[in-house]
Amino acid sequence: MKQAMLTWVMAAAVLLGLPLLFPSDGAISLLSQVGIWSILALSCNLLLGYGGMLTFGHALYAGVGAYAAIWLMNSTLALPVFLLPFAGALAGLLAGCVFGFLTTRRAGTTLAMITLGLAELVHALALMLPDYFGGEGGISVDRVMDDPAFGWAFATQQSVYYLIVTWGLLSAGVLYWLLATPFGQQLRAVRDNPSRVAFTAHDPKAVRYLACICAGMVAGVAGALSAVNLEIASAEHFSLERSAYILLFTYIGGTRYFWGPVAGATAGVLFTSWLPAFTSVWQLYLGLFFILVVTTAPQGIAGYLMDSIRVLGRGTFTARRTWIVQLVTHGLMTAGLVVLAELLYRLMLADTTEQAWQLGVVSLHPAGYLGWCLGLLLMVPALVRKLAMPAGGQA
Amino acid sequence: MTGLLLGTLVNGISYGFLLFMLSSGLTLVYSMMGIINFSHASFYMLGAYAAYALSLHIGFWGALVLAPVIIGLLGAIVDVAGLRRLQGQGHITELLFTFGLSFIAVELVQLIWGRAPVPYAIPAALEGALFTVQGVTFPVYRGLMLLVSVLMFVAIWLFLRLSRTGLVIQAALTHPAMTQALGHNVPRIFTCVFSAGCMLAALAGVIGGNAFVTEPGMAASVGSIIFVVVIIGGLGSVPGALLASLLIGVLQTGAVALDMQLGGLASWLPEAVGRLRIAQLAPVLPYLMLVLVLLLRPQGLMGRRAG
Repeated sequence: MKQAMLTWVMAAAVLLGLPLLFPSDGAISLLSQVGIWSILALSCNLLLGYGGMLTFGHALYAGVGAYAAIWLMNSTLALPVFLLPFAGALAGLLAGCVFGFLTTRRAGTTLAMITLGLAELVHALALMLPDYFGGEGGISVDRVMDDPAFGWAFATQQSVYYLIVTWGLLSAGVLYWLLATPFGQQLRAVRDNPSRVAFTAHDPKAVRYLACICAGMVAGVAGALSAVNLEIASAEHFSLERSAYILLFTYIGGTRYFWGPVAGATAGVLFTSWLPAFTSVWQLYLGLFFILVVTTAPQGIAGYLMDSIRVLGRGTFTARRTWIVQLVTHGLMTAGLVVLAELLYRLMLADTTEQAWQLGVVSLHPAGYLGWCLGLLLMVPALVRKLAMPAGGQA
Repeated sequence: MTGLLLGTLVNGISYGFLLFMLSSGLTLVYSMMGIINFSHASFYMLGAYAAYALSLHIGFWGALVLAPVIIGLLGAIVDVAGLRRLQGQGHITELLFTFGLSFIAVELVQLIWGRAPVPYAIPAALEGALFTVQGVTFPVYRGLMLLVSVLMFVAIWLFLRLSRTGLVIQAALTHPAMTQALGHNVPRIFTCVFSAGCMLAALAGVIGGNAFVTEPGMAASVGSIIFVVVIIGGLGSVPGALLASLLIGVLQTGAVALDMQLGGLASWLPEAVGRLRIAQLAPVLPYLMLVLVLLLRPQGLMGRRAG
């Protein structure tokens, strides 16, 4: 218990200190994005990791929260900005009550498809009613009020970041507490063996429903925060793409660890907001990375890190050596794949003027042999290792 | 009025059959393997692109035969290299794997064919009207769509019900261990089924790609509607998928044909809602139907298993 408290205090200190480490505007807005997606992924993990519920419509709750915040900001009700996430939570909770009732009656893959259908329904409705939802363009607001409560105007990105951190820690705390209650244990039991739970006179559907409501509430907080952060909400908030990203980030991070989704959101925001500055095929990398996690490391980034710490800290000499060799060969193979993908992308470009890939002083041209050979060469160590391994050995 | 009704019905049925072509593979794979193939719509897209690339060299009819075969082989590779290794990790892992595949498929298509639509057109021999009844024309190509999908339904039905292989497949679904013990190669059967599902999606792509537009967004545009079809029809039920496809097809084309404002039907609606035309509601109707079915009959129209 004491250790858990210490971890929370340390996490809070790190999060509050990050802007001092990365003071540029771009870095702080990136950190704000990471914060919002972390809350979303954490709430998604309540369903995915702890409840075994695969949801393809999680953006729904966040979207409802975002619109609640936007409508409140535009209304005559002058609610202080730092209380908007609370309104978002209420809206998300309500949405959870309505949509959760429909989705949680089934489990497993059926539930996944139902959430998908419902999210599409709301997305289409939002596009159809531009008077309420602003359609494609969305509704914009100005979060800076003339007479802010306590003088907190949230005019700078930095202040918004601190707002996100505060509400993020609060949401994470609520989720953590929830998972420690008997309800949290029931939820895990429903994930592992719903029929046995049913025999102990607990209704698995009711447990799933309650989890969905709680997850909707936390996602609503994230939605309201994103509305405050970006000062806009559009029908795109309900889109399947957003739901898909939430799911991807959560899974990449690792669903069996409480903090896994935060790691996933960090990696995911780097993939979606930072990588596009360097390459046009970032979505391919994201997809490949996701497949890699699903097939080889189902515990996600969090699981991989924990395994690394365990092996490098307490493993035998051979285990450590294997671990390092694997890291190096797989890293080289990834680099090779990246080289090949970039060259292929440039080869397919219609515009031949910017075909060469500038890498520092090296310039790789898709017409030359150098780049392709380099890409293939980088993959050799991993292949040799794979072939040298006895059949059925762990890769 | 009868002309309008007839036209709506005919168009709705042919759209419904296209939906069925798309969803039959999905529901088939689910009923056999328990896998929800999230990349099913991607195979539809790949089928359309493959048909486009092939039709440049061997013409439309060649592509109609060859493209599904190629995509079916691709599906077999996906099953052997990916899905088979994930067996035992639960259906959610398999679903997530196919979900990741759908991401990669879009990117690969964009890498090879670019982001703009490709000019995959209906062959000249199939343009024009098949017949005209009371001012409603029915294009020849619609006829071909209808023919192919009806043939497909009959073929699947007969294959599963009457052939020996179909019997083994059905046995492998419920009792995989026993079927294996009797000397049947169950993993190979699964690979064949998955490959057949992809083939059906690709066939729909060959037919649908030039009836609509062949572009990187085409998988996403049908992706969710086919899931709605299989849930409404009942997961794993091929006749259910047919029924749901036809229902959605007729309902949606019917709504598009009705030029009426909602406010005219119910004056109590707020102005912003009342201004909507019924035609604008068409994209929402399948999802509304989904909600209704979930409330009244959670197992779907012709489904049996409860989740």
